[in-house]
Amino acid sequence: MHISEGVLSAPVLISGGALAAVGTTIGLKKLDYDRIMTVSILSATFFVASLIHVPLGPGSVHLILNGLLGMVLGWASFPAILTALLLQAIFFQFGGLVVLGVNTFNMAAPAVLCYYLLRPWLSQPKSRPWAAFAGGFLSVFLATLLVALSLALSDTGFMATAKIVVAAHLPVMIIEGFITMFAVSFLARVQPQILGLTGLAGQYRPAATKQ
Amino acid sequence: MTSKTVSTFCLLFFVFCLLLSTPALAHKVRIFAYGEGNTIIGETAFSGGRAPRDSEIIVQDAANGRTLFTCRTDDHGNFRFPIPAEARRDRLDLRIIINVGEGHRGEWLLAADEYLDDEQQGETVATSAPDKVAAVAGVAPAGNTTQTISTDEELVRRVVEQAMDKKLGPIKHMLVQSLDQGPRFQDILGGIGYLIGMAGIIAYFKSKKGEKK
Repeated sequence: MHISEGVLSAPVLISGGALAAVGTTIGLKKLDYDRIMTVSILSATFFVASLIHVPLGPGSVHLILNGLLGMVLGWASFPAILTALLLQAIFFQFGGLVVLGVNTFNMAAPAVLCYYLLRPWLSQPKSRPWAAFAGGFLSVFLATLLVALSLALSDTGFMATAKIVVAAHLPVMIIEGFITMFAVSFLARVQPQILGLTGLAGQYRPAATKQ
Repeated sequence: MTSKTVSTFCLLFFVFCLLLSTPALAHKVRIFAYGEGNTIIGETAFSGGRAPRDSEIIVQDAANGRTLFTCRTDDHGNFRFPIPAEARRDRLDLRIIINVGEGHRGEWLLAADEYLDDEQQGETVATSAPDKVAAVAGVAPAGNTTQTISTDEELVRRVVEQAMDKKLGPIKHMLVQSLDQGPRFQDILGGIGYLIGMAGIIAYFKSKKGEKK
């Protein structure tokens, strides 16, 4: 999922960088500083998740967990992913500093999109697990499409690349769907406001006090 | 209190991830190439050991990025190709690039001196050596002796170089493997430390601001 240096053309790099900068700015503006530790721990989770590799076909794929970040952090996914990718680029030469913007946008934008798309369902206890699964699944799916798009805008045809990247990440999508589902269900049970479901928590609180 | 639960959960989660990732594999392609006689031999691998099969290898002139040659890796991620005539003639430094697709790419710079070790150098030395001999001797040596000296030197040089190649091949191989071993456990822990440390610093400054107000 990390695009290496020297693959993308300058316009893609620049626009990716600009979009990532905008997203990060919004993320930092919207960030509630009481949640800074949550952001950093999820950032660390993302940082480590990329190191778990699933051998597959000719290469291997790794977990991304951008869906989980999106579900929990919303816009704060941008700074969280940016920081984690920065460290990966410096420590392991994953991706690289030049492609940092594009990589950040490719992974953070689907996270934020899923956050908005699935929020209504996430607040309903019945549909929550499925919304969370969809969040994990879709975030990876959209990220692969963005990767394919970045590559397509640079040289190779979109469909061909998209097919390869999407097919390679299909198992990851399913795995991440389940991981996100369990993580979100767990968080919703023990700590609903971490998911930004304060309204929901408010609804539940009177019931809790009655008991 | 409550955020404690969450932090514990998140902590547990990434500790879990950490445990899974101990034999850490990185998604980075490494490539390594060296010259042996008339061919250039190369190895490629994703850090962690899996081989990128049937991936494109592009050989470029390092000076201007002009593509000289392309080939593909075999099932073990290895490749070999004869030194392009042009590269030999102009003593070009080669940039060897592997392009796996999906945005994964790695490159290796192979300087001319590293792969053009025999004939051309042999020739230059062979032609200069007799001159030196002549200079030292102070007399023009007979054509016959020069010939013998130069061929002898060239022969010895080639034999030594071949033997060296043979002996050094595995060492080069080992060296490159030890150089590029993907993320180490310390690096991963360090990264986590950085991230949490940054949050700590931000939280500290935020709390200071709050106090002033």
